[in-house]
Amino acid sequence: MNCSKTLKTLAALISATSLAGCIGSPLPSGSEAQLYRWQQLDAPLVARSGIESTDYNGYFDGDFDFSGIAAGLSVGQADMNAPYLLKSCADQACYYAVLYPADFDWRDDGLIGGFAALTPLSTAMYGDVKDLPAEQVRPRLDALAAAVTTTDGPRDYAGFIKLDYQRAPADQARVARLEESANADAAIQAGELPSLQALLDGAITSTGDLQAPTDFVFSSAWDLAVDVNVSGRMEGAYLALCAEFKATGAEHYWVNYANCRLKTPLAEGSFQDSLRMSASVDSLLAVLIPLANPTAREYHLWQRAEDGDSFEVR
Amino acid sequence: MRIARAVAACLAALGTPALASAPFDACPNEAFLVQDSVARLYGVDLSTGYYSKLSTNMGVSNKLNAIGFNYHDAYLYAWSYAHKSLARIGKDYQVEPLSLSFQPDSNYYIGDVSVLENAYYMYRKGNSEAHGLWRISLDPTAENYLAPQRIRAGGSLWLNIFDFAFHPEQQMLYSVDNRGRLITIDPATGDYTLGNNVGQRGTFGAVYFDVDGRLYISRNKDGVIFQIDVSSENPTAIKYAQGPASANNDGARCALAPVVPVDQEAIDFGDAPDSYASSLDANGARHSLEGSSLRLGERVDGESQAYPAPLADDTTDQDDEDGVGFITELAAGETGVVEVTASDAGYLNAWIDFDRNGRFDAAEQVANAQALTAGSNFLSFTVPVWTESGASWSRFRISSVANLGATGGAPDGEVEDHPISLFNGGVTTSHYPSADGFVTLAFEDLWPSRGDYDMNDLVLHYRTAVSTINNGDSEDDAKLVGISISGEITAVGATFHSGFAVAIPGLRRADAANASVFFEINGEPQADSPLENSWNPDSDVVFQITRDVWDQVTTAEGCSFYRTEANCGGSSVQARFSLNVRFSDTVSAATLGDALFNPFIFATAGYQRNSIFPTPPGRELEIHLKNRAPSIHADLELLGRADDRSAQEASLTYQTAEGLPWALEVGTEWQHPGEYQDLVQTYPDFIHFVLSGGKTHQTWYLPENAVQDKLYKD
Repeated sequence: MNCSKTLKTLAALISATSLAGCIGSPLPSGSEAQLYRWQQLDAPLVARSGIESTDYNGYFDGDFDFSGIAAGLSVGQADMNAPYLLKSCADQACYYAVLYPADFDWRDDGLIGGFAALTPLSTAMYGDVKDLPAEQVRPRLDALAAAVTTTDGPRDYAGFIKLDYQRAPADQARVARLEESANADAAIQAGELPSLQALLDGAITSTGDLQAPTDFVFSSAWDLAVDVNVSGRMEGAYLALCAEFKATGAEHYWVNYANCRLKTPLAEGSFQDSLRMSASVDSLLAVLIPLANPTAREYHLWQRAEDGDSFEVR
Repeated sequence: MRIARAVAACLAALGTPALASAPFDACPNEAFLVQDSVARLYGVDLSTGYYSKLSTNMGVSNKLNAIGFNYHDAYLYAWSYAHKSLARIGKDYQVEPLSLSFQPDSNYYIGDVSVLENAYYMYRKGNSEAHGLWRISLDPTAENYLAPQRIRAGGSLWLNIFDFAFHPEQQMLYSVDNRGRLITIDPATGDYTLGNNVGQRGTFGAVYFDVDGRLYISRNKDGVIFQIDVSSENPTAIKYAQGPASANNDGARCALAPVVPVDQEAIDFGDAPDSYASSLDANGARHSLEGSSLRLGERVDGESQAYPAPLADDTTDQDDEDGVGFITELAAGETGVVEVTASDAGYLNAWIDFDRNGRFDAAEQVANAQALTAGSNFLSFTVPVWTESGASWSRFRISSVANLGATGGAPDGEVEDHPISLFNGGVTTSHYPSADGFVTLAFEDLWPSRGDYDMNDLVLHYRTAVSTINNGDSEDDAKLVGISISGEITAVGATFHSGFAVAIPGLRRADAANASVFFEINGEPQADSPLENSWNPDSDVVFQITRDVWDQVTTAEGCSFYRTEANCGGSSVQARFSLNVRFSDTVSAATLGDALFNPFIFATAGYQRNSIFPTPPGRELEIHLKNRAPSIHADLELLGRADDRSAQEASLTYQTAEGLPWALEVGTEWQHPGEYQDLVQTYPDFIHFVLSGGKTHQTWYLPENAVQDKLYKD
């Protein structure tokens, strides 16, 4: 046996010299697991078969030993914080886990130490992030991990992925939010990716059930970068950036100038600033008025859905 | 009102004699005006000058004149040129000539009916036997009923007047002659006195009194109606309303009726404080809504009386101030641009109280009979260099009448009064979330113990504004001109007593030492400054809005909380606050924090709090939005107690071990949960918002995303 676990109850039993890089699995021994680069599922980097173990009453049956894969892989520094996907299927039931090399111990002897677990929750989490670009995966996984784990121990993804809650009572206690993860397993057995959102929905019945990252402040406010520059084509201009308006004809609007976000003279025809915005504001109208001839005003419409977080007028 | 009761009794005693037409139903508020060579009768709302035709066919083919209203029998009486006799007019407006015991050989154009006796008086200057001051009894029981009696020969009563009216409480006739002199006539003798000049000349063909003894005179050539307080030491004609012009004009009204809007919902008043003249008593700006559909913008609300600020109904009822848009801020020496939207062609007169003296002075008129076209119009003007910085008011009036003053009635159109801010120089003003919008702040007050998450222990609507001026080259050169914070308390679902305050991150207490602070609650200036003192001049400024929100709101009968339980609050918000700070010193704006600032609640001194506090913790207990810093007044030893897991050194504050907050900023005017209704149960999308780290379901708080029966509703 050359796998070890984070299980406190078993820790003392595991040889200090055991190899690591082991991935816990609910699949039967002999199953195959493949490791992929993110969103390159057509070509696995390596594959391993699930081990058969008689130790500890077959506790490690079906686990995958990836401790020795480093020798065959070219893993640069940039790859250490990139997501990798581990996938293992038996019949139509597929389990997934997103792994990061940096979460494992790259030892001087060339082996990899550390643990992770393929579980229904890791599979559901993959389902949640599978369409995200690589750089957005980890923040999302951290948020999801915080949502499903308790305060006893790390609540980021690195802590979560080591939990083998299906087999370890202590870990199950830490995954306090989703005792109904059997529902996720049922979905997997049916060949589906379970919806973590649906699991969370069923598990959260009060605000006190929620968990949030320490730096999340519960505000929908965001910043709009405003960049106006009409120098050279409009002299003595004034800018009103207004939130309440409606089109009354081609290139004409009714504007409630008593409900604007910003009013400013344009110094040398330009204005740049970052404005805090309420999430309820999804459009703004910039009215540019030459003070010497107000009828020659210009309207410029910004819509968040189309223009994003910046508003540029030239 | 003793006289009114006597009149009512008299009317009842008369019974229903056999008359050709029925009397008027009551003492009407409107004035009657008879015009034209073939008599036509008009009703005039003296409060605005609005008039409407009552009858174009009164059954005569000639003029009527010398008209008066008789409160003793509720008929109009007038001299009929066709019959060369006195005539009676009932509510069908048909002329019924009366048979006088003899008919003087003349026609009369001055007449009225006495309030204190049932008799008609008429007058015409001249030397013939028919001229002079006459009395005709209208009392059917009197021996001299309908027997003309000359009181004074015309040759000895030579007055250039064109109508007169009986005072409601004195047995005296009043008029104004063509030179503007106030004239009083004793009807018993015909003796008269010449009073002072009221300041207006002309032919005043219609003269009326109201129940308060104020005289109204209508000038034929231009229809202007003036009001004169005849009881004052120096009676003066004040322009009151714009009525109809006519070469042939005579008026009557029930002198026991007050001058009030004839139609209770058909007048638009201004909303500015009454120092600007908004109420009827102050001869406020007002427009009849019956005259035409000429409006500023689209909306207008008819009122029976004015609601001058701070009682203005724009915050509690429909806001009809939608026709005037201040495109630019108003800064001394700069160009001001205003967009005025007119429903139809008309004239604009407008004023801005630049010197902030509480009046609209002649030098402050920015539009003088400016012709408007239907739709959008622009008004440009130079803001005077003598403009005083601060909060002020403006007034915009549209009418078919070209020359309106800042006060008085108008027969059509609309008045819009707008509160404004005046600045000393060209400023940039940034509002959050917008100048007229709100975000909501919702607090749980059990900190440092976990709350029940109904998020309604204190709920406020909240907005801010920052005004800066920048004469330099970079953003760092911006100087702070003003800060505004305003809001309204929308719910208090708390048994604890908490105050509300706002810290301004990046603005040092020392920078505010010489600032001018204007603080109002419900429009009333507050004597006590909200600026908290600090032992550290480098600490952030803190403005204390209220030391106890329970001082600002009152629960409904039988209720424990304010606007969190069903049927416990009412539809209107009780407490609104407005804080404006103007900086005269050079204060950099570069270090200011985000536009929300740092709003928080604190424990009110002297009131018990959580059981973990053996004594009231007082002002030093603060509850902020998550990861906002406690103020210099907070007791930092309280952080980390009970369920709080603040780590101030890491800027992680006011959160539980699960990262949950005690306060939320919600991005709109929020419908908060009812008492004991959990936030997640009320707004299920909040779960996804939190689990996504704020990336999805950002509008979880919109009413369409709520479980309706868990919301607080009025």
